[in-house]
Amino acid sequence: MYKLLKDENNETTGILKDEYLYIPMDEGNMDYQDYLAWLEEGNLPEENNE
Amino acid sequence: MPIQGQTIDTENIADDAVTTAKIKDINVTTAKVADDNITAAKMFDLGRGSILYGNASAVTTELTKGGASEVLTSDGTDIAWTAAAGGGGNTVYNAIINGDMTIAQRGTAFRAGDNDDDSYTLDRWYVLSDGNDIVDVTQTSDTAVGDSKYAIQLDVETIDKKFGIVQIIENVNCHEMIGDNVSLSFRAKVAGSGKLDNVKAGVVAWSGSSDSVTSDIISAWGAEDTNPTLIANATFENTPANLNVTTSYATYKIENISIDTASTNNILVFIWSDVVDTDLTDSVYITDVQLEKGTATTTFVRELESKNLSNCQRYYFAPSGNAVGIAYSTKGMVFNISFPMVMRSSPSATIEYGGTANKLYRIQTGATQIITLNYFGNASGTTHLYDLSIGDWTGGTGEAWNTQFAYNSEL
Repeated sequence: MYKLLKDENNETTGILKDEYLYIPMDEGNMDYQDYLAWLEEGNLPEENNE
Repeated sequence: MPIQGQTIDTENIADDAVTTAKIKDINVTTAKVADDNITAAKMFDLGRGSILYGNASAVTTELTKGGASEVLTSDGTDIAWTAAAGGGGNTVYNAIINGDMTIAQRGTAFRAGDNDDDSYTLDRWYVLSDGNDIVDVTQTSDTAVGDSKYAIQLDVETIDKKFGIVQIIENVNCHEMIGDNVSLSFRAKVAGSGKLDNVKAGVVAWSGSSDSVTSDIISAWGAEDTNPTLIANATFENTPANLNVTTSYATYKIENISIDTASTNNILVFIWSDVVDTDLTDSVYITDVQLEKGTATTTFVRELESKNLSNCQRYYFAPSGNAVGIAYSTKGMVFNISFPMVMRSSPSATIEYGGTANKLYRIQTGATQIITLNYFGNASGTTHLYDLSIGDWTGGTGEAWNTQFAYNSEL
């Protein structure tokens, strides 16, 4: 599962996958490409509410 | 008029009086020519760019000029003109990184769970297999004299399944090969029951988006000795065939492969066992993998380990020590990480301490805590800033914590 990481201004700074893998929002990053493909399938990430 | 009873010596012949017609052709022998007296002008004219050589019949003859950029090479018996890449000897560019399997940042043994299909193993190499836990993957020092110190060993853990290793070459590192010819070479041997008797190698063109390669290129593994069916955008550029790898290390070559698939953006090298009848502990050993531009292979280019490591750290970086972060409040701390090598992209990251994910160690007290990072800053190929400011954080301002990061920017 993907979760959005956000700063104090509520802007997304990265993606957390399976509570373990930190993924930067860099389109050259294969994990981020997988995330984008996952979004295109109609999935939605969780918000980080911590 | 005949002269009888008299000797005609040099004194009886006037200067400049012996004409060419008076000398029988076959009597002009080598012995009649003093050393160093055949001038260039007395030799036949060579074609422009030609040289004299002894041909396969041991006859001195003309070797006409080679093609543009070709170099003169010898096979130990005869000489011939070949493409420049064939005559460079240790000056060629090897597009494969860690071809001699010396770098193992992720570890040296990959067994159940770590050896699953489509998992990275030794640096830059990932395993593909018909299922998970098909082969144990290890860095082995079982190599031949004169070869690399290490090889990769693929040791059958689940019988009767195909398996192999793959490396994806980044576009910037294979761009010059696209639309041209390449040659692949590697050292290999097999061990075990003897059933593992069909090792193949393929050079695969990726015609999908540049540097956005689907790493699991297998659509269907197929029957024994039937080359796997590849996924869309992946094409074998050679026709893989049984290399008949033996139980002793030998060099296997696939030369003059045309990278001619339209819209190729990346090249992959895939070496695999095409056998579906194996026994436990049957093994394939592979090392000194080289992919070079040109119609023929050359000697493997061995890099210094330091350079090899740097090349690998563009794609994966796992510091052997811990990173230290400083708490700036009771709810926040920051790690500012600079990478030793500019990574291919901003990398994904994991943290762990003592083998536990997301765990931190408080240096002042020895206490540990499991957290979740919640902020990325400065995310790039050169630096990352990680900021923890989460509700269950129990740190204090000024405290130092450490943990171990690993960064992944593989293709």
